Amino acid sequence: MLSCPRPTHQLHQFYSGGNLYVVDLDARQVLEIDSLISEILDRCSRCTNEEILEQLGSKYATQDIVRALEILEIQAQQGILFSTKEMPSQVSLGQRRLRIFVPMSIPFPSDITYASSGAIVGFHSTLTALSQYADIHLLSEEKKVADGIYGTSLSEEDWKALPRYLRRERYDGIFLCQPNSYHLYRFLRESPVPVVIRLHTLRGRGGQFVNLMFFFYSLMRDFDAFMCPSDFIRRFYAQHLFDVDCFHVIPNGVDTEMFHPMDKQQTKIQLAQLLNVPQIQDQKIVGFFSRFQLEKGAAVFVKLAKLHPDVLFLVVAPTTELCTAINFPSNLIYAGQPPREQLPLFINAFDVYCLPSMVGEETFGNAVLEALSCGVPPVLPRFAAFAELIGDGGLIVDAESYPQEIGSFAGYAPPEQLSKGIIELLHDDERRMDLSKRARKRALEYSWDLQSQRLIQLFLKLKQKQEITGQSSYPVRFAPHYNFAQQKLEPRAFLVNMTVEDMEYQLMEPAYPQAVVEGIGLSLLKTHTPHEIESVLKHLCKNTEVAREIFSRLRGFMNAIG
Amino acid sequence: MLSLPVKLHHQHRFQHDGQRYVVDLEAGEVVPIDPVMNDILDCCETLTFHGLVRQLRPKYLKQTIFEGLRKLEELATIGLIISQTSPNVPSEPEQSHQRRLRVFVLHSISEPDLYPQDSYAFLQALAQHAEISYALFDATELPTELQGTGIEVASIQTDPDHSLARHLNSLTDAYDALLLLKAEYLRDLQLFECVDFPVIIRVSGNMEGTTTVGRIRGIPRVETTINGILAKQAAMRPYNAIVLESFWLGELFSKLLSQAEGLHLIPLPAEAQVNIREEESICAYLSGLFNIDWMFIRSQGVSDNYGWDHVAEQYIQLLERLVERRALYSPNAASLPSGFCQGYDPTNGKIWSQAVMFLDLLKGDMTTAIIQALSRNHTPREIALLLENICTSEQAAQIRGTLSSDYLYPSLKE
Repeated sequence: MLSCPRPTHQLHQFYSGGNLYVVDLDARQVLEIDSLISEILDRCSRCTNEEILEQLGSKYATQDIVRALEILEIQAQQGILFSTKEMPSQVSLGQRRLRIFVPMSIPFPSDITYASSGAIVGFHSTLTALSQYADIHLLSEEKKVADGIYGTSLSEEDWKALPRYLRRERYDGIFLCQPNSYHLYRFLRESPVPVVIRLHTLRGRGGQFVNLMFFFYSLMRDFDAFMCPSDFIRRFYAQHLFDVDCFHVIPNGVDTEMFHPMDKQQTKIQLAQLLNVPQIQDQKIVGFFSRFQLEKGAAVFVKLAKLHPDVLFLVVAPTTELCTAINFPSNLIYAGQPPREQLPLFINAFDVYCLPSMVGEETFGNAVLEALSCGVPPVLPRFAAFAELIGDGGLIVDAESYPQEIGSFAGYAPPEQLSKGIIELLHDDERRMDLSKRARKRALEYSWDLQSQRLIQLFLKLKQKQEITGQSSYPVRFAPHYNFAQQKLEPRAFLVNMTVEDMEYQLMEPAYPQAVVEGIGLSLLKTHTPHEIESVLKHLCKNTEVAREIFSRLRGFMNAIG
Repeated sequence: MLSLPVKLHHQHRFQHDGQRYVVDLEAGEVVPIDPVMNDILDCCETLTFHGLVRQLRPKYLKQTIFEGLRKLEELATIGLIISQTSPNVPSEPEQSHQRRLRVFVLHSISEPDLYPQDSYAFLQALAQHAEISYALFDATELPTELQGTGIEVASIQTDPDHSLARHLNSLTDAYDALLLLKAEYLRDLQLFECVDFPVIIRVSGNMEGTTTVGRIRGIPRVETTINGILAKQAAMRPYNAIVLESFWLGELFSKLLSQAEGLHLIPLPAEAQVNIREEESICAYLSGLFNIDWMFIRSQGVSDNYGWDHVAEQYIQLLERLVERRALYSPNAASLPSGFCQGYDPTNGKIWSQAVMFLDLLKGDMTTAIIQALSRNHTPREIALLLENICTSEQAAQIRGTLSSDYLYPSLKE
């Protein structure tokens, strides 16, 4: 039986065709009801069961009232008519936990014990941390994937009427973990709520990723955003795109409790036994922890080993089969990839961590951060996001980089430079110890919890932005204009009286002349996003700087009068 | 777009906390709706598409109405609110030639409360052939000269809540056409946005009786007149027209434009007081630019028995043609929705703009997609102007082929 008082959803009751109905505005449900239930609904949020029985007792039989309360309890259990208990929020970022829809085309990696990609670790960690503050709804057959992470599946009707589905489910935002499929575009086109897209890969692969990103960029509304782990991504795209305000830098985190500094000598002894490689316990170790492939600098690492036969080079990676063509020197030991919980032991055995990666996808460096967190100073090329990530917690050496390159390799880390850095650290114990402390200190600045808090703040900010986003539709006309001074017809655009609804009380001139290209941009804003207009302007203007100027003027204008 | 009128499901509508909802009692669903959708639902069972747009124009921008229709259509496709099966669609009301045209006459937009006497003879003649409603501002009685001529009063209050635009929007089904007696530089461009039926704008060749060429904000009046006509001509839909009253204007535009469609020369009658000296001085001013031969223009003069009746007859003929065209007119058939984005080509390392068709995500030609998108909101003339200016002639020819021929060349079909 329903126990009152019990707060109801927002309800609306009405008669139609002699029948009584109640609409649950929160659950978007319509129920046909009788007058008894109607009267109970009128009272149940402020009266106790006894009061209801007393007030309605003269009109209805007690057993009918009790039965009605039982029926209502069934509805309440299904989440209809009455609010279910809200999950208590652990931090008060808003009035309630946000509901975030994560329409991923890949399944949630609930087990990352043997994950070999920072992206997968990131995906898992981001959503797990986020579920502390928000209810995450994934596309999944499972009802519950993890605590705070639920599965949901869309019916064919839901896919057809996506906006209706998203509203019905009362989502506060959509989070695309990466723009990895063109078909996710509908979420941007039709979402009634802000969309945040996580960007974590960048160049290479013939520009495949950049193209996907451009596509999603073009569909963004003013209240959608990219979340990128480093400012490097924002700077990279700033070379090609006009609007960099939609890039929000929210770095990844690291589990600093799991990845913590251990006693170096003890660790080495332990690892030497575990791997049955006695040299580990009495030699200096330069470690590699990533996928051991050429793009990640495997060949450079091998060259470094050849340059330093007196130092042990330890490779922690799932396999070395990605570069079988290279002969490994005897001082290069392949340690395999242990399960995740053993990783701190392996990393702690490193005296120096080195990642000579040359792919343009190093937009952050989860592995680097894990090394920092273990107090292992890294030696890295001056390339991509590395310098930004490690701060003063490691050594950055000069490298070649090709910032303009999109489709292919974006740089090269010369072994000689890395070698110099490695020697510098291996030969100077004091310096290495100092960097080790700084590395750990640096790592403590990052956490998955902090990332999710920032992400929640971003969603709230975007929701606010959505509320003040105005219309962008003003009548624009194109016409030839006779230039008497030049004695020729020239094309022109006019923004026709913005106060069209109020002809006689105009505060402005009847029409504002514009350049044709500007007029095209303004007119298309009725049906297209500002970022689409950017593509149009670039196409029409040829000269990017002119296009940029017009774009910024149009945006300013829109914000001013929209 | 929904084919109106439609049949609605059994439903209930209400407002809660400022948000409107409709309950579909057949489907058992609740859908939040916005005010325009609510208003559309009020009348979509009885009105045709044009009727509905006319009905709602006073309250909403056209774009908003279309958006509302689009959202309802979306609901209809998933079986909500609206039965897609349209009942026997009544055709647009027949434009019977026996019925006299109903014409709303407005003197001017900037000075709506002036009723210049030189229009009276014209209006009297027009009233012989059509039902004329003369817009009077803050007055309810016709000037004595117009009383007893059959001309009706359309009284308009000029308080801020009843702006002229709103009044024009609300003319809806009451009239067949609107006649603006006095053109302006650009302010009257809005007329085309306000009403959905034929509009005729009359342009006088006499510049307010000034012997020298007057100036508006420093721009010689003749220049604003000419550019005003050019702007209006571009913004006109095929069922709008500009009537030029002086031979020199006709002569000038035939020299200035290769296609002067939408511009009609209906000269003033012999009895009208035309300021010949002024026209001569204007022609002198323009002669260097346009090679206008004043003696030739003088020789085009009307005959002595050409009177207001002749003028009115020509107007009526023009109006009838426009009304007919209005009935046949449809905007450019909606092309597939497309988007614009940038793309990187690994073969040459360049980034460029490309169009994306949303149905199949195929890439398309950028310029074609821009023009297609613009053709939803712009007139054929504007599109022609853009084609001339943003692409090569071969490209333009190709893009023209992708637009419906009904849309781009309405005048060629005559």
